[in-house]
Amino acid sequence: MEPRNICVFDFETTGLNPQVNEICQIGAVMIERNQLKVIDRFESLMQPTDWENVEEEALKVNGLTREQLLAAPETPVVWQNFANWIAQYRIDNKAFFAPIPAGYNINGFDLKFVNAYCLKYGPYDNKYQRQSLFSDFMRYDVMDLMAFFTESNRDLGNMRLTTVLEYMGVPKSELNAAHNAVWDAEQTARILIKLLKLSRYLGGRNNETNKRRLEFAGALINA
Amino acid sequence: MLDIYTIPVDDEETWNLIGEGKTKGIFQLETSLGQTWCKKIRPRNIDQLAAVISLIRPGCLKAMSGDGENRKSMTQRYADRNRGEEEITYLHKALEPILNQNLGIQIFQEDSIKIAQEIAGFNLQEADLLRKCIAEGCIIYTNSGPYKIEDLASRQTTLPKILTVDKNGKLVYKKIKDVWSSGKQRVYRLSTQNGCYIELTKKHKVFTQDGWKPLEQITKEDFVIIPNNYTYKGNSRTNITEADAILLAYLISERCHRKSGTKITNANKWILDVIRKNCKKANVVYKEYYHKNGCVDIYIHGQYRDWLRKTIEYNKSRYKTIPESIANGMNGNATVFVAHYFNGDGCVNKTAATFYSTSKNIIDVLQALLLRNNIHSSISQKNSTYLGKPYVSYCLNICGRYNIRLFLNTYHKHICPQKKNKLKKMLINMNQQTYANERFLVPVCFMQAATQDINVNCVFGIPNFHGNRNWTYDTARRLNNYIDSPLLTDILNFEYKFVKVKDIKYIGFKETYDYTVDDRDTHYGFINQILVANSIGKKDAAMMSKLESQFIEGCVKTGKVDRVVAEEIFSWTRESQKYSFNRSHAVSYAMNGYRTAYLKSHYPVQFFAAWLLGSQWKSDPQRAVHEMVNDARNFGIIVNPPSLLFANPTTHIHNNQIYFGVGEVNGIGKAGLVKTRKVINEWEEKLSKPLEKFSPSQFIIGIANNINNTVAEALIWSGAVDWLRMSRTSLIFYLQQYKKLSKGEKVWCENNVVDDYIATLKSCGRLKKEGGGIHSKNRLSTFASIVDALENPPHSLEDNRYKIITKEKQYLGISLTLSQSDMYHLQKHGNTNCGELNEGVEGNNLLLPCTIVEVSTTITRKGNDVGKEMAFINVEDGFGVLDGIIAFAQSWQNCKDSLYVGNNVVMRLRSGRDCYFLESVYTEDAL
Repeated sequence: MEPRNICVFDFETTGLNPQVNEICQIGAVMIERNQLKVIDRFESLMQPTDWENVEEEALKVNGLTREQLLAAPETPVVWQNFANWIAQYRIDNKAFFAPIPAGYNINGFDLKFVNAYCLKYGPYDNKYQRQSLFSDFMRYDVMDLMAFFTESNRDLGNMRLTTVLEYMGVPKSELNAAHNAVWDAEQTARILIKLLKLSRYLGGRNNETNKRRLEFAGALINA
Repeated sequence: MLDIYTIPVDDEETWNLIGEGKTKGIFQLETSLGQTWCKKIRPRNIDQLAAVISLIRPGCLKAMSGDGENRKSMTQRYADRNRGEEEITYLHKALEPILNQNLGIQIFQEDSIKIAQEIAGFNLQEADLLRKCIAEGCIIYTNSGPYKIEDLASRQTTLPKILTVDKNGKLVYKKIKDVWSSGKQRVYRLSTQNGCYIELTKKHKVFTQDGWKPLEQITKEDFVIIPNNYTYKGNSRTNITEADAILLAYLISERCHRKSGTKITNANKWILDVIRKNCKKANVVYKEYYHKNGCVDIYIHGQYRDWLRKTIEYNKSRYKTIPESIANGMNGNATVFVAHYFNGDGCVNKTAATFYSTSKNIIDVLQALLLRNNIHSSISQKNSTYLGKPYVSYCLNICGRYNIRLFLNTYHKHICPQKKNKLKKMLINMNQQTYANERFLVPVCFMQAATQDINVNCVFGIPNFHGNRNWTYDTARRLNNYIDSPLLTDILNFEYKFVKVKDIKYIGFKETYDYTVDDRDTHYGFINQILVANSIGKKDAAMMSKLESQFIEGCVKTGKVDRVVAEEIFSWTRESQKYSFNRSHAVSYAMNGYRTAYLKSHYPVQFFAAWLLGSQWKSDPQRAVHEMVNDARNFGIIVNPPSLLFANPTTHIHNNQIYFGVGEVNGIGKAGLVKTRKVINEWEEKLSKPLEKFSPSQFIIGIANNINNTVAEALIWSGAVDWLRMSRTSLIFYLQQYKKLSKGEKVWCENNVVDDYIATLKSCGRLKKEGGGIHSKNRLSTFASIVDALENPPHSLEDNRYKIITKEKQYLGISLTLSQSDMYHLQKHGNTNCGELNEGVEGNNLLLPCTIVEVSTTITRKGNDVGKEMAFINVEDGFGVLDGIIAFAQSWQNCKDSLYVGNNVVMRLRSGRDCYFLESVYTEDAL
């Protein structure tokens, strides 16, 4: 498989509905695929266009104020900068080789916003009716991955990012910064890198255990 | 001016350069083989260099001499003697003055001529043997079956007899004396009208209607000969039953092997009945599955399946083979097999019965099997596309009235009724036609000779008949009944037939082989069905035997050596002919090599620049450029990325440094360069200063904005504007922001450019009344956010290594400022590379910066750490791949965490016997 880079990103929004609400903060981190290391960061506030739909509850969660958002740069400018930044890390100059999107609960939340914004401000693939900012062919949702890995573990009460981080050994004093887009993205990247390293360690070809497993499977088929 | 033809031949620097193995880019010595042997032999004059060039060819490296520990290749022997590690010995004292220069080794072909001149006292003009060989893959027809020529060359036991012709035109078998390889040579393919082909060197002789002719003189008008029949008993040792042969035929033609089972699928009731019957005969356990469309799957179970696994290899259809037990087995089984294979993969066309397969091997063997029953067939190739990929399949056609009748007569018992009826119908149709696609013809010259004095038109009763045409054997036979010509009777009674040549094509370099027949009179045999001469043709063989006696007698006459030694010297000379190289050839190669080495040592910058310019005509230009750039670094020469200041279309030299051409960057091209120059000239006039003194803001606003966007990005990413002393990322970011401005704002900016880019945009960000460039109030906030992004950039504007490398690769084809292994700062910590380690560098403290490709673990079985885990690691870097680094239990435990696939590390290694052991690992963080 081509070693596409991975872009871990996180949005802070003015609400939960991607049709009505808007993004107000973008934080993203680029992981180089071979080395599994963070090589670049993106961070910006974004001024909402529709002030009526800014929900107070959302602002409470984010810790952002209306004054801060008023002083922020306009949406189209920031979104274009974001798109240009991601395009720099395509391994070939085609949309097919764009970075893989990754993040915490992106399948359920962030990617819906990406679709809505790409339709408005580009880049959008009109032929197949989908966004072409990220690779459309694959996505790493770290929440799904963690749920899979800790499936039989009863210590975890829920699948929030802070709970998972605490479970993985991050001290509680660091967890206060949660729900800042950049911090979230960086911590998610940390978990993802750990998981990828683990899978690379396990997945070495000609591994003795793998061999035995294959032999067993072969015996089952031939029986 | 330098005159390349008058350079001194004893230049110290040049010989040092060659002796140190820095021969990349030097004629004939640039391979790794050339480099290593240059280091070992260290030539100091043209003669020695010529010896090196002729010694690094595969023939020499393979030619072994000596016994026991002293057994070495000729190349190794020369190197040892040159260094004084081995004593120089001669077969006889008399040879000393001749082989003195070559340290006692026969390297050149001229040496043997000299020996004959000096010792035996005669000129060897006649003995200048022609080099004639047969390419690999050709099949020799022997009395124990068809063999590939390369298989016979590697065979230790006695060789079988080859099929040849005697003087009366009868087929006989003659013993093969020897088969040997004679290196890679240019090979031509001769193919005939009936689909046979043979691959030969151009000097090799082939029998035609005019007698023996070398391949280079043969034209499309010529005929070659093919045996009437080829029958042999077959090997009875690997005999199998008839039922097995039938089942194998269906299993190879119609099989479907899965891990879950082996099955035959067919819908024909007759065939299904045959399979069931034979399964019972062979005690095979089988099950049947019925499909809706009438197809039946017959799954084969039990012991028989295990036997099948041993005999048939589980391959893709392209690599299918027919097992030995049938290909070289008894005649009866072969007949049954072919007939049932025809039921499976055969087909009846309008004019031919055809076998289809994608495997060349199967078609070749089938052709040989058919010939055992005297049936001639032709192979043709079909090129098509399957799932978007090119796909080659082969057809074996049996055409011609005579062949098809024979085919039907021999196999009718075993062919299924449907196909049999079709064949019969085809034969009836063919009899009505006058010309039935016959490929075997009696050549014109014979027909003319036979019908010279006779008015054929009246005799034969065929209108328009004349002797100026090739006629089929049938017609010739009918004609001969009337005229009774002795010549025609002879030709018709010969056990071979004439076939017209279709074409002769040049194929390329191939491994070639020679053979000799152990007989005084016959020096030829059937290879790939065509009669060709052996290495020493009829004349040459006679001469050779004459030569041998002449040589020995001459030696006795001159009195320098006695009879026994003379015989030994002669045999030795004959052996050396297999690998020796022409001296004049070698010296002219050596002169060319020396000249390029002279240029490299005295004018390195020009040498590398010229080499880079010429690399676009190499087969793999990117790799050639990559190697050359790395080699130039060793000479202290830097190859720079292109620079817009010079704006040259191609590679050039400036201030003793090499610069890539701007026109060579992807996405710019010559047209883009011309436009860019125009814009630059305009702006140099406008600002009245040269391009060197432009500030970044003037470049972006003046030049980058006015040329094509892709050209501008290509210029920045390829490093052509690095003289601005600003990071490439920030230039790109500034340009992207500038593109967001409106037309009026851009015009304002162009008229009021300041050296500071952000300040220019800031002063533009006012309304027109206040002296700015904005015309409406609504635009103010958007403009403010653009300036805001510039002041507080959302991402860092420094270049990271990843970006530089990937972008330079994208636009230049190679990253010039940084190499791939430089990506993680590791290169400076190493003291070797994979290329050196593959050549066997030894040491206890080898530091290797590399990327891990593969890690495999096993359990230790010996020593102190029994039962613990250890690992084998494969790594790579820019110089190559190194396999099988061993990490013992302790070092594996210590370094486990950083040894995962894809990680870039520095390894500390210790050399062992033929392998390297891992001591410790340093990651990027630790360094």
